[in-house]
Amino acid sequence: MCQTAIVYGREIDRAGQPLILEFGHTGVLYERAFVLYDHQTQSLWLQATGRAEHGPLEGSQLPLLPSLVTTWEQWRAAHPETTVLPGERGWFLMSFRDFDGAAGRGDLGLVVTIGEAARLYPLRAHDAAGDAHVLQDWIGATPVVVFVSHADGTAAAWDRTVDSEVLHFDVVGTRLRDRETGSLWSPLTGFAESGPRRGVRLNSLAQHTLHEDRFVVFFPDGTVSGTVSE
Amino acid sequence: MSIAGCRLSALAALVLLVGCTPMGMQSAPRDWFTPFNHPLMLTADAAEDGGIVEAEDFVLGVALGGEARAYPIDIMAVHELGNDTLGGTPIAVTW
Repeated sequence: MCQTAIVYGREIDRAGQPLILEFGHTGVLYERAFVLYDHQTQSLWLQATGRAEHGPLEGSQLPLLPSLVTTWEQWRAAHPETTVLPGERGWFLMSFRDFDGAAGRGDLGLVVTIGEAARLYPLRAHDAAGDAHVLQDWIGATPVVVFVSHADGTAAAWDRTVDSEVLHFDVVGTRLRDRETGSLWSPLTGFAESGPRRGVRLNSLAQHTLHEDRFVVFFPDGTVSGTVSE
Repeated sequence: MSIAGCRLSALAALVLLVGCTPMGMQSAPRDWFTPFNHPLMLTADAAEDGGIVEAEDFVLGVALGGEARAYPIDIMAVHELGNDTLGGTPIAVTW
């Protein structure tokens, strides 16, 4: 809730045995994030971190998975075979867009996690840098490229290593172009669509949006990015 | 969930007796936000034809194991949580 979209794997290792969990909603709010329970053990899990904080599975961590908040138009163009969750819209809710005018992001940041490391990219800082924008960064030993589109609020991060080579990107229209070969990449799918690298895909990174002031609460050991780029 | 939803949760907390929970504040009854559980998904065409999503709507997109799925934010705001499987991986989708 509160504009934090996170996707986890539901399978964990319990004493060497795989355990697939089914989750329910406790109705409990903790630090403006909700608390989940699993039907198998009744353990309590924090939505913001995917960690079990209470119960038999206390200390367990769900794997964080890559996800992206973007417009339907862009998502469908990037993934023509996509399927869609059916349902009714919440009549009592403001839309994501209404939250903050055009971009709808407020003080949101993109959180990228690699192993134990978490790094926040405040989207507002990138808005000042112009329309669409890329940042070349490192998280530990992993070279990362972060794409932010001010126009539609899309933000995505990718591992920019290809065949042991570290790539550097610029924004060209709605695409990324690597300086090494001039290939054009989709920032939404990580696929090279034309040029010498065509067909190559960047490795995805676990990422989700989170309000900036929540980052220090849920990721106290995390780091915050500036906008300095290579 | 949107800010209106956050306020709704806070209001619910005032109206409901604050339960004794191991962590956090009971702001709504358990599963008052009904999680979705493995629903039959729509094709992109069916979703557009049925008015489930429009071009400018925000979606939470996930691509995994060669499959892609869009979870419209306005629908996620109703559930806040869902159990699903994508590309062979069991996943939990949260908002």
